[in-house]
Amino acid sequence: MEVYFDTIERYTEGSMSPAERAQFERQLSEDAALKEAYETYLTGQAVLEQGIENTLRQQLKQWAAEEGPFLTAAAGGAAQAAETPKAKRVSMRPLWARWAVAASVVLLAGFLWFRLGDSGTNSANLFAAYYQLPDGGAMRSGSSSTDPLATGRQAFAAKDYKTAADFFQNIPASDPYRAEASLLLGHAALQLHEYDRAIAAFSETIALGDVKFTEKAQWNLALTYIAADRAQIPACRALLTALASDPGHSYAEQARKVLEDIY
Amino acid sequence: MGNMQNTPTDERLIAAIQQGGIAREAALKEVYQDKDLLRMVMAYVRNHRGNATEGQDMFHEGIIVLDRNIREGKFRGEAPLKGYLYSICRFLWMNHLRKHSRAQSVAEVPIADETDHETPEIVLLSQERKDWLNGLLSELGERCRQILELWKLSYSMEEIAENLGFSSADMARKAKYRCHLSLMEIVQKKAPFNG
Repeated sequence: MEVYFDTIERYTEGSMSPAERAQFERQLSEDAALKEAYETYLTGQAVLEQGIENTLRQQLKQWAAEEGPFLTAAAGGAAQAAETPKAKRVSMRPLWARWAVAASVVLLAGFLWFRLGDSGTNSANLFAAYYQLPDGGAMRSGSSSTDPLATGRQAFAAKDYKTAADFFQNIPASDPYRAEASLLLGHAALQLHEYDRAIAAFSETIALGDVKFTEKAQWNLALTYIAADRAQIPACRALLTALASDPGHSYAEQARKVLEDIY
Repeated sequence: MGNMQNTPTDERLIAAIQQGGIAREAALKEVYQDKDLLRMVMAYVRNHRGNATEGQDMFHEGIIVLDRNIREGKFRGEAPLKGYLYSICRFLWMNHLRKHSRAQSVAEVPIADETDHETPEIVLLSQERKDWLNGLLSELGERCRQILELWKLSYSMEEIAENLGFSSADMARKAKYRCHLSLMEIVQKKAPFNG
């Protein structure tokens, strides 16, 4: 396989001369081992295409999640575009039926209140079971002269989360370290139980699209929703579902387990 | 749809997607942000037995097909980009209805009457084939998957090194080579797909 690799790659990339191409194609029809290696290479390319498709699908879902309210607005617009104006509907239900519906709503609300109240305790346990503070590598302070996040890392390692959060918050948006800073800000805010701040920070990391931090930010964003007892909101479920359904995602397995635990 | 023109914007977006790398990502985001087109797709899906969420899903799937068709040279701007993407989304939705038998007869919603250009060339893989490919992908490991995907999307070795934290382009190149061989070994070990 390895002996053919460079030749096959040059052929598929189109970097062979016409004469070389002709020779390669002739060999392909005569050499069974080369043919097998070539077919293996092409299957490998199909595997990568599937990965690219998965990654783009996840990216699109992420963009959509960041624009959460748009779907509702667009759905309204789409509905207007799709439907011709209709006369106002007059309910023909008898009074008893309307009371029955109202009673059902009250019962359902009571049930949901009970479930959410119950999930408060579970949320804390669930969060504790899955959450991990950034590892030593992320918090190991480099030389302050070479690592622009060193001050924040030191504060975080010393559990001075407020100082750390404020430091990471102040890293400029244009700074190349911003994605990492916002990820660490999310963790610091989580330790301070400042959930909205953590959600904003992890969302920013995701939006910045740095592959080194995106998956961690997505997973920690989902955990933040759980910590904040917001597991029932659609954004949380959509995010966990997206992670669980992406076989290439580092946290797919954990997301699947959390989905089973919550929903 | 008939008044859509193939614009300089179309040419720029197609060129960026063909170019790959960061340019492709920015172009896809620009396409994604076309809310008029999203509304049209959602309206179409809602008009044909679907709901808003399914409309949004079709828009996303349409962008995935558009991206691949441009990268593989199946679409080079022969038709307006918006119209092409809209056609893809309609095709995908009709295919979805056929598969899920939600329409008693898909002839109830004829596509041909509405298309303003040819049905886009779409190669739809069976779910079995996708599962098989995903199975192979899952054996590759996250790091290798990222390297090879970026490489396939025409990121330069310098960009791969920067994105994935390699100390140099040369280190990224060596890692890419190892990962590529590893992928070929994984494929070789698996029984061929017989779907």
